[in-house]
Amino acid sequence: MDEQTTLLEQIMAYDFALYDLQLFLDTHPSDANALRDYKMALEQSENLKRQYQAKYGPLTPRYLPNTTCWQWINDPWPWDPKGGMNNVVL
Amino acid sequence: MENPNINQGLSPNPAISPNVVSIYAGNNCTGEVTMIPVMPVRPELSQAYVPYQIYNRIMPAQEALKKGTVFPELVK
Repeated sequence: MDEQTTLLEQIMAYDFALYDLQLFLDTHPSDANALRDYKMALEQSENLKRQYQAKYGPLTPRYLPNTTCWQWINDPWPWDPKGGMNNVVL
Repeated sequence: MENPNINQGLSPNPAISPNVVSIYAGNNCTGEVTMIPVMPVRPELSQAYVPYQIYNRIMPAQEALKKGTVFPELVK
């Protein structure tokens, strides 16, 4: 598996963990251990997204590394490691 | 912590019963501490109940994604 896919998988894993912990915290809002693990997972997710976006471009349109040039439409798209336009026959 | 029995908000309290946990009544870790049973002491007919989950440990994120939950006790 290449580095880009590995990073994407790690991001998905931490975002999934965050969602599952969110559901727990919704019914256990004063559980300090769950909140501690939520914070840790959030830091991991943010670090991985920072790493990914610095190397492979935006994961969402809200990532603006360069305010003079809109990078969201650049290939490849986050879910398309081979590049969108490469697969389009004009 | 002011009260050593209040273990960071939520934990089984074996001094009272293994099936009772102590939680803060408020949702911001303040307010009165209240005891909550894992399952109702007197369940009512026609009502459905879910046992109150106690936080233990969570799995590494990638293992959790494969198994569909971060909680090992929920893997069936």
